[in-house]
Amino acid sequence: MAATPPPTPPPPPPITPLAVRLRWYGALGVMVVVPAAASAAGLAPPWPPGTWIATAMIGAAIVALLRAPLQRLPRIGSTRIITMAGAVLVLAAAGYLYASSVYVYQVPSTNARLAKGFVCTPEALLVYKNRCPQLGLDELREAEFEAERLWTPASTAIVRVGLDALWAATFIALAVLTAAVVIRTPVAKEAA
Amino acid sequence: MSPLRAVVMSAALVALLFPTAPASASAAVRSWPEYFAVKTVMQRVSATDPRVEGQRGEQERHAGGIASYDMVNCLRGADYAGTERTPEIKAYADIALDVITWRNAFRRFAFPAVLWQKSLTGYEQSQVDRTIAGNPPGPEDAVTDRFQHAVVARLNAYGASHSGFPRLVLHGGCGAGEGSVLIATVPVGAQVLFIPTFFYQLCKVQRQNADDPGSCPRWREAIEGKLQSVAGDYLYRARWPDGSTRRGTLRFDMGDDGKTITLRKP
Repeated sequence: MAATPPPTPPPPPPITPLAVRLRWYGALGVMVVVPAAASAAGLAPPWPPGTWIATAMIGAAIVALLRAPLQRLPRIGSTRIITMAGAVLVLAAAGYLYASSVYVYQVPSTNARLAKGFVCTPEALLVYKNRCPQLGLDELREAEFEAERLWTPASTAIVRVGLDALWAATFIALAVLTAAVVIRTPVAKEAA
Repeated sequence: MSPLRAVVMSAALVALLFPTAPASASAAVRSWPEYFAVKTVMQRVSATDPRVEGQRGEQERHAGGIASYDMVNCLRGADYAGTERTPEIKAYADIALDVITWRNAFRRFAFPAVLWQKSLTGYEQSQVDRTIAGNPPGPEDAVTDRFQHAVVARLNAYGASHSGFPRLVLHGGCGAGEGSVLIATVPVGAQVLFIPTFFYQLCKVQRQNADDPGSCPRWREAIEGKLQSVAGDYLYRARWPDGSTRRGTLRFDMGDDGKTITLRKP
């Protein structure tokens, strides 16, 4: 009776080349550093506080989640995704910067960034009449920089949420674009 | 790379880029007896400090025959704690002053204790517990927000079916400034009043006598020469005992915090 041959050991799992791993770590770094830099430059939304930390975590998770599905995509598909994500990134970032410049003010004594509104309170309408709702720093100074004296709480809340939505769209698009670019970039073969 | 690993790695990178401050030596003050000691002090402050009385006047309003009470307390207990205190002591002072102010107001309006006492005690317990755990409530605190909205809804529902109760509101409007200035008068002894320019103009367009604190209610007094939470443009009126008066405008901006402004008799 012939002896049964020993079982063949399973093949070792494929090792991701170092260059690819570094590229993915770089993508994660981009998703942390960009919102942190935007926040340090005073560009983060005024509410809620610490938005950039949540943005960094979610952005990194999106990059990691997209890795497998993007790898299965044909080249034409990833090109389309890069084009669309790039377009959304440009539009959302432009919209966010425009809305920030119009609807966000900074309290000089504290440097806090707060949101304006777009519907004046009855009291502000009485005082500022035709200037409403385009009120600026002069009017805020007269009202102790308290936005809710000049604009209705509902309108300031809508502005805050709108700014958050544009910020989120910008960083989701950045995460998709980063992941797609990492997948598309060819890796040089490592020497044996 | 799994999404979980990505989140963990990005969290590690965030922690690396922005390390938190080392644990302070304030562990000794993280206890309920310490809170009770602070609360006893705040009870005395509440009973004797004219600023608390002034703030009560800000919170209780009568407009068009309707009485209202603003649950947002612009006076902070931490302002009485001095500058050298630990964050825990300041948080205790804030919690205690709010709890004392609300309890006194609900008793004064004679709301049945069953409607508010248990939730106020629960709020105090949870805020002190989290401070002891090293997570004191911040200026825009979600727990405080939820508590205030729940109490306002409950007491207003009761007030709607019973007469003689004020309507509770959450207006706030304490000003976005964090600074305070000291007001000195030469000679001493003048009563100094301030009003944000917006409210002065509002009184004028509403045909109230904007210069009379009796008709224009937003004038506030610099009690003991200190004006807190100021930012922006104000009108002031200083009146000496012999009747001489000085009026003018002042702007408080960055860098004015803690400054002394001297108003001289004309």
